[in-house]
Amino acid sequence: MEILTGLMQGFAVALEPMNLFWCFIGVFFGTVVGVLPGLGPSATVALLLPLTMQMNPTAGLIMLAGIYYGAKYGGSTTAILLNVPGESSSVVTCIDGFEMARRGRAGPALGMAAISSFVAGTFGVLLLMLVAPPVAEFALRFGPPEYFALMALGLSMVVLLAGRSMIKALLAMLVGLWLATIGIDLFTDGARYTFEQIELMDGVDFVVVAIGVFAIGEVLANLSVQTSGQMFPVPKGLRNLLPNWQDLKDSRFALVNGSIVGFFVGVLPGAGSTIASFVSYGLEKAVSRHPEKFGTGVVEGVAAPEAANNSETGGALVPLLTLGIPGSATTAILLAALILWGLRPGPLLIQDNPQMFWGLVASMYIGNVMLLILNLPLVPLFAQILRLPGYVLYPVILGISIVGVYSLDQRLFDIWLVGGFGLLGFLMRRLDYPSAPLILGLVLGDLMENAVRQSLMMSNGDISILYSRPLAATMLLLTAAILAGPLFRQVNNWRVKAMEQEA
Amino acid sequence: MRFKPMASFGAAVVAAFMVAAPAAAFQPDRPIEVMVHSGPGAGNDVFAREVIKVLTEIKAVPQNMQVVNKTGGGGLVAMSYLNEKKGETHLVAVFTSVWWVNPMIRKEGKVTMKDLTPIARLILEPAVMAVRSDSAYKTAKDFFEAAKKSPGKLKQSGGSISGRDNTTRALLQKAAGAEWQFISMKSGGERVAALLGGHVDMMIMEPSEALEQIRAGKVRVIATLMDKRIVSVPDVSTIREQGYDVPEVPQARGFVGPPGMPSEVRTYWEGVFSKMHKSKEWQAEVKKNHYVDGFLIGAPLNKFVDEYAVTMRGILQVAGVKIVR
Amino acid sequence: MKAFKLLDRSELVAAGLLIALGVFVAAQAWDWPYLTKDGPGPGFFPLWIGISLAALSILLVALQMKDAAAGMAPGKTDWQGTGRVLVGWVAVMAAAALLKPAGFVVSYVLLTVFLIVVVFRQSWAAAAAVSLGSAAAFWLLFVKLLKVRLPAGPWGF
Repeated sequence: MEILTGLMQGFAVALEPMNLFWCFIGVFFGTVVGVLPGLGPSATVALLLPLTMQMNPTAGLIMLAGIYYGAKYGGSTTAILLNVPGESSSVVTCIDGFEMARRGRAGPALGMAAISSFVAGTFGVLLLMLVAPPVAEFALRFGPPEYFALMALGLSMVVLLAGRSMIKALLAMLVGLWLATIGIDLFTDGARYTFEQIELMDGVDFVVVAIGVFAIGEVLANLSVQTSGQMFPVPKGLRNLLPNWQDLKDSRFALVNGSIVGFFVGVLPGAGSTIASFVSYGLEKAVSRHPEKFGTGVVEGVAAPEAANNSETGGALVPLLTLGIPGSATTAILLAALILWGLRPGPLLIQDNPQMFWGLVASMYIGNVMLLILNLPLVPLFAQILRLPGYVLYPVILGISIVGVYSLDQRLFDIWLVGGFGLLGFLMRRLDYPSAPLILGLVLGDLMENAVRQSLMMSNGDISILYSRPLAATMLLLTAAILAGPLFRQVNNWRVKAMEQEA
Repeated sequence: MRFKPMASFGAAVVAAFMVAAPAAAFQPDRPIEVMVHSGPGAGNDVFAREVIKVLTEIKAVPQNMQVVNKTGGGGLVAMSYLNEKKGETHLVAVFTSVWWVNPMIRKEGKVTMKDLTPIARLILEPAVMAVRSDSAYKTAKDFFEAAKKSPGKLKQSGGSISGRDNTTRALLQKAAGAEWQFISMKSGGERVAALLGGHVDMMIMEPSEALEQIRAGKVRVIATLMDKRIVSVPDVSTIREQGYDVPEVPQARGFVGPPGMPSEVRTYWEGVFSKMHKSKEWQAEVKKNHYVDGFLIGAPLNKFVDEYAVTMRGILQVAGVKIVR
Repeated sequence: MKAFKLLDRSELVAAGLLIALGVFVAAQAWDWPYLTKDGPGPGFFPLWIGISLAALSILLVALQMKDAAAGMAPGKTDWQGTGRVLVGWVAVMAAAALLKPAGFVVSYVLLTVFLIVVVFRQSWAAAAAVSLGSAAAFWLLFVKLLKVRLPAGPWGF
């Protein structure tokens, strides 16, 4: 059982005082950075890179990884309390999380988020440890047609996020899809909708849209209601500030769902934790016995995406450590760190540096425990933020938004953009257009279009490549099933309405 | 009347200073920005950090050097930013080949290398043709023959069509008389994954990318796309040795400064990079990353800047990329 | 049509804007290659996105008219308080404009004071306390601790 010996070795390394210290620093900073919208783990890891050059690689990697998965814990905090996603994948947590806060259940939401993150984060490390190489090989079988099927599955989630008006949800999704096309076309180098602005050549940054529509949109919407007092009810008593047994029971499947979906989506290079969160949320709603309650503040709606985005970090480390392929922006920086330390990331990395790999794995278990201990007690404290009056909270949210957006690329253009999207967010709220489909379209549109065009290039125009391969076909069938459900319901509604009108 | 002697005295003083000034060497007195046009973790970013690491180790620069990422437009944002900081002495940037290419093909790119102050070219990045180790192709000829038999069926993964992998493909196709499909993928990770997963048949890679995969036995290099064999894969013949007349498309990396950089500042930086180039720490980095040493400063560098523009223009035309400038 | 008049004005405007966006998107996409020898070109997807935007918006209006005619129209959009919202939004944009000349701290303080006093109708004291307190916290946390680069005015912060 070389895995066991490896792990023991790893714990020996991870429990060294210095490494414990750096692990704590990493997860602590990660949480702070995750809480702050806009500032993401990739920027922080990049920032601390020079510092880590002075450290030994194992300690440095432990710390940087700690920032990476720690951020996923913090991202849910502002998402739940303020409807502001702290981290890109926390967008989905906003949907039910914020609703729970509005109904006075901010504590249980935050607590559930922390617990889900812990369970799924640990699960992700477990899978990383046990099945990394075969999973990596399996992931290699995902080519453009499979990516397309996965994106189609993701986009079909829109029917599950629709709420009252399916058409408005579709329109929001289309706007998101359009925003995704802005920029230089990957295949022909042609500019699309850039209005000759250099800043639009790389497209509209997802974070800018998310912060604009959610954070600034939320603030603007609240300006119309003149409240001088506290925002939402915050119950007293520790019992009401943490999830109760019923919550934990309700979330059982969500934890499993999120952990598995998150990990596997994380393994695919380029997929990303936002997709993992959306798919996991959609899946949870699809199999739920009370799907109509989603969006009103059900705890599974928080548990599933939070689990997904945490186990996704474990998944994203798989291609990095087993093949030397970075799957996301943050893992790309981790790759750079490995190179700068003189290591050679590739299929032989683990073989050449078993101590580092196992030390990292062990430290991730420890890190997740640290994060649970850090985050859970803070829940009642964070929940008190909602006691602050609006006139304190909203300007602060605006300030954080501006800083968060500016920290991305130091461009004033982005601030103008975020202001514009803020107005859009407000108008969408007023006119009852759901914002989740917009984000969904924006995130998936790019990937899906690329996947389709790459697939057709591979097959020289033969469209059957999209559905003939087994993996792709399976996902497409799942997509069809998801689409069929609500469409049946909608058609039925129309029938019923028509019958009522005739009567 | 009384002013005239003062004026001429003043003029003499000024003249004395003007003669004396160049002799006063430039020394940086505040932190230095090293601007990179890609995001953290990307090739240029790593390159910049390696340079800073070596410069710190050999204590060549008395001030802190910090990487500043200015992404956007494939370098255009960075070039435009640099152009705005005329005369700034504590700012240098990493240039790569796209700093020539993108202003040529993008309307929005109004700043070109001629507007800026080239300081030093440090390295050239070689390219190799790689296939999966379980594929049937052992030489470039095998690949070309297979491509000729099924035109457009074989696939190569790469970046954008104005990037080196596609322009090289255009040259290879021309020399081999074959054609195969090019599939653009956004990130390096996806491209390698596509090759390893069997979704594409060939990829043009840099040795640093390829070597780890070779060591693990997953990838085979079938040709080196340079004029001379490279140290990293000494047993692999060049494309010319294999009988195909394909000019090498060098990818250069080096440092450039804002326009109007005072000559003593430029001299200072040239000195810094010369010192670095001679150091064993830098040579070790070059070896580790499988770069090819391509150190150039001064007049030969200026000549390279001009020649490279002409070369790239020609190559882009062969590749069928639209040129706007 | 009576149904048309029954419709909520703002819903119509929104739909109208979406139709206009759809037409614009599709029109731009028309000029780009629809299909290339390798598959869909850059114009393919945007064209369909534009067409769908316009078509679905028209469908939306039609359905709303049908609902209105059947007396099942949902209530009118509540635009109360929008004046305050617009004032707030203009203030945010003004703060954005001030970022380069005045730096983050000053712009933020001005924005916060404006919002608290004018929009939230609180006292100047509260405005001063909140704005200066949070500005200082931002500066310490972001600039000093996290080393985020924020726009700085001629006074250094």
